[in-house]
Order: sequence, then structure tokens, then C-alpha cells
Amino acid sequence: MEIPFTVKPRPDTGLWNAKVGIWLFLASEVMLFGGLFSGYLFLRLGAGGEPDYFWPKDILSVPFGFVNTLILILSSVFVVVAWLQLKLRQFRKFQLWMYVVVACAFIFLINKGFEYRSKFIHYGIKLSDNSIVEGYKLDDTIIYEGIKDVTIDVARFNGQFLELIQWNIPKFFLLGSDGKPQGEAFDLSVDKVQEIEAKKNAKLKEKHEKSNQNKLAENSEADVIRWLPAMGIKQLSLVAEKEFSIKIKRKKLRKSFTDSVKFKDQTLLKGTISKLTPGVSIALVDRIDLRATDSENPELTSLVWKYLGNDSPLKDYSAKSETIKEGDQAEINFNKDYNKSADISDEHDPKAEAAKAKAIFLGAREEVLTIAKEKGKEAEFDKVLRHLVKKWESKDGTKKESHSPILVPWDEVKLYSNFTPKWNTFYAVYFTLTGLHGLHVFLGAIVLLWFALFGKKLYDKDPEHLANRVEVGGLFWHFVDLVWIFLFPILYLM
Amino acid sequence: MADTPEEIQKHLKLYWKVGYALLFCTVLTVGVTYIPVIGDNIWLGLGIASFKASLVAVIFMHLGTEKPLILKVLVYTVFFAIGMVFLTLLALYDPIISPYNR
Repeated sequence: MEIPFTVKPRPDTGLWNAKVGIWLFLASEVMLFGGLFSGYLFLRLGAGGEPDYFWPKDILSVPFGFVNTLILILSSVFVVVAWLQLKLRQFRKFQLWMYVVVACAFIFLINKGFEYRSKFIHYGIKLSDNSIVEGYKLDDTIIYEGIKDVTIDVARFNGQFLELIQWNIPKFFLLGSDGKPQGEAFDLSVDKVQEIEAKKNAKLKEKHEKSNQNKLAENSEADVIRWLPAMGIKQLSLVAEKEFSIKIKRKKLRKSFTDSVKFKDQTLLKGTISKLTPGVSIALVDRIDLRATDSENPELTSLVWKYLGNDSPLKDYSAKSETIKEGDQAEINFNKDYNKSADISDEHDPKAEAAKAKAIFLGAREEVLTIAKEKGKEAEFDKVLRHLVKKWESKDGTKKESHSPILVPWDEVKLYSNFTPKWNTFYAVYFTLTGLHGLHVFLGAIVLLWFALFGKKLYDKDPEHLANRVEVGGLFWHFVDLVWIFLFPILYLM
Repeated sequence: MADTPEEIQKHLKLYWKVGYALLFCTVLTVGVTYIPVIGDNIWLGLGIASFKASLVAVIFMHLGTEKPLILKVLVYTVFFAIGMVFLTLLALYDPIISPYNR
């Protein structure tokens, strides 16, 4: 049976099927993006009332967004041109224009990829006084040493901490209820834990059933509870044969305390944080933001100034150690990698660089205040306490450049992250909206490419049918362009 | 649209003109941000974006000459979308106040 109205319009509505279909779909898309835009408005207007959060401005590259807007607008023109070529029955030209559209789509996506990457490699640390430092090459390695006591959650144990033990993995003893090691030392593994759990549970079950039997022997109508798996053991306390240390990226842990560390599988190790990893470090600080700082005189007393210029001790560890112990080899290999990745600050004296960064910050701040005074206006709050400190050229032509690192002690860190939704609301909105839009660009490009590559058969059969399909694909493409027309100003310019 | 080659050529010219207008408006959107005072006006930016969006909708998406059924569907959609935005914004004036922050 042939489906009616695929090419010729229905007499009462004047529309063919796919046209009604695409417009209903686009109506649902309007609601979807409308909901997200209203979420954006709500969060943006609501941010004004937050004392310690300032809606970020000027953090996306306008030239990047501008070029992408031009590309998308041009692709929208090319789509209608391609469609008109079909109307003129010029299949070859239609194909060529369609390829140009698809090329535009992929250039747009590649640009977006570069923009995303720049956010993924850029980090921020929020200190306990709400000061913020931003920069590159964050290192959150944390070493716990002197560990002997281990508590594991038998149901969740995945053995992750065993892989992180430096050098030799020790054997473990089970701890008895008297707090003393029991039985023989064993190699810890997920299988071993399951074996111990099974044995212990068998004993508990036997005891439970015996108790039930005794109750029933005393009173045949006594209420007894049958054995349930939840009655089995939940935790195992272990002690290592000798002390060991572990090294891990802090973000991979569930919790980290000064005297213990908890993994995502709930394994708890008792130990102390190594002096080699006293905090989280950024090798190259590029911006300091003191707008939300609690301190009364942030430009001088913020915690940032206290820690700026301190480098991660891990960086120099290998250079300082004269004798290499067996176990230090892993450490040194790590440091080689670290130094390689953070070589931007290798040739610089961190303290001198910190002084330069502070001078840039204070100089830029002074300049903002002077200009405002000259104009008889109040200086903009955003520009007084937030400055790039990597490079600066003053009005009188003085150029300064700093390569300062920072090391913030663990207990002074409120939050650290790369520029992803975890960092702030803006990035949550940015990645949600542009990610969903990017997905639309990708899928739209695939559909249009399909028409260009495989449309010839339908064109030979009924060129108007293919023209209708391309018109529908084009309508979707224009909608994608339309969404970007709003996204560009609200994310990049406002 | 009429399907004669002359009519199609006419449309082709119109689409290119609209394309240039859209490119010009994009340059304008970025340009005004560099003008002090005016550049900070978010409504100006949104106004230009709305003008661009209406060009795309009316010319490229043929809404200017579309059948009434499609227009009816869109009128309802726009009505509900605007309603949704305002309902969300109402929440700004009816915040949940934490008992701990009073």
C-alpha cells in the first residue's frame, strides 16, 4: 500500500505528511530548549542574590564563538541553496552544497571541541576564605604513610587500595574482638575477603540456628527468626604485617582526613598524610579572584598571598634525595613525569614569581581605581578584585609576566576542579546547553550527509519527494541555527 | 513557493541577501559590546538575536508563507514556552527560606 501525501499535499490542510511531522517535532524542541533557557534565566538572575558567587563574564573566547556563529549562519544559507538546486533538478550541485553544509557542521564541532578542551585543562581552587585561584597543571596527588589498620566493607570491597600500595604489598592479619591479630597472615584480595566472609557467615548461621533450636526445644511455639543474609558480617578489621603507604589522586577518594582515608568502596585506612603532599598545587597561576573573600582587606590579607609561590614538594623530591632506596624508585619515576608536565615553572624562582603576580594584581587594581577616579565614577566591583596575573601591561607601558605556582594545604581547600559543571553553575549551564546543541548539530549533519550520499535513488524515482525530505532536514538545521543565535550572546557576550 | 526556474532564482537571491543580513547582525551583536554603556545592555543583544531569529524563521523556514495549521501549532507552542519561562521566574519572588538563615 502506498502512503498518501508524501509528495503531494493533503487538500484540506495543504501540507504533506513530513512537514506536519517536522513542525510538531520542532514544537517539542522549542519546549525542550525553552525549559533550558528558562533554567538559565532563573539561575542567572538568582545568582545576583548569592553573596559568594558571581556570574562569570568574559570567560569564553568571543572570537571563537563569533566564528562558530558565522559558520552556522552560512551553513543555514547553504542548506536552502542546496534545496533550491534540487528544485532546479541539479542533483550534482545539490550534493556539492550539502557537502559544504556538512563540512561547516564538522568545523563547528571541532571548534567546540577545542573550546571544551581548554576548559578541561584549566583549573580553579577555592580556598577556605572564598578566595579563588585559577591556573594550569593541577596536582592533587596525596600520599598516606604509616598505614597498618584497615577496615573493609565486605559487600563493597573492590581491592582498589591494594593497587595503590607503594612497593611491596604486605600480608594482613584479621583483628580479633580483643584488638589483637588472629591466625596466620594472608595475601589480601577480593577472593580472600569473600572466602573469609563465607566462613564467618557459616559460623554465625550455625550459631543462629542452634539458638533457634534451643528456643524451640524450650517452647515449641516460640517465635524464631530464620537466618537472613543481612545478619552476616558487614565489616572486617585487618592489620598489616608492616606499615605501608599509598599514593592516589585526591579526587578518586571518597573522603580524606588528616589521620585516615576512605575509598569509594568504603575501605578505611588509618595513616598520616606525607609531608611530600601537604596540599593541592597549581603549577601556573593565571588568575586571582578575591571578590567573595571574607577578609576585610582582601588585596593584602587574603589566604592566596600566604600560599602563592609555594611549590609542590613532590616536584623537588627526586632532586634532593641523594641515596635512592629500593622503594623510592616509583616515587622518582613519578616525579620525572611531574616535572615534565609542569616544566613551565622549572626555570623560575617560585617566590620571586609570586611577588610578581602580586605586583601585577595590585597594579591592575590600582589602575582600575585611578581610571574610575578620573572619570568621577565608582570602580566596577568585578574589575577591582579579579585580575589575570600571568601577563600584564600597564598604561605606562610596563610589561610584567609571572609564572607563579601555588600550594594550598588540604585543610584550606574548599573546592577544586577543572572548569566543568562541578566548578560552578555557569559551567553546568554552559555544558548542558552547548552539549545538547552540539548533539543536534552532529545528528543534523548525519541526516543531511545521508541525503547527499544516498539520495540519488529517490531523486531518480521522484525528485520532488527528495526535495521534500531535504526541506524537512533543512527546517531542523535552521532550528539548530536559531538556537545558536540565542546561545551565542547569552553565553559569550553577556 | 512557485516552482518555475525564474521564481526559484528569485528565491535564491533572497536567501543570499538574508544570509548577508544575518552575518551583518552577528558582527553588530559583537560590535555593540565594545561600545561603553550601550554594550552592557543585555536587551540590545537579545533584541538583535530576536531579529536574526525571526529572519531565519520567516524566510529560511518559510513561516511567512506557511499554511495556517503550522502557524496554529506554533502559536500554542510559543504561548506555552513563554508561560513556562514566566512560571520559572515567579520562583525568584517566592524563595524557599531556610529556617537556619532567617
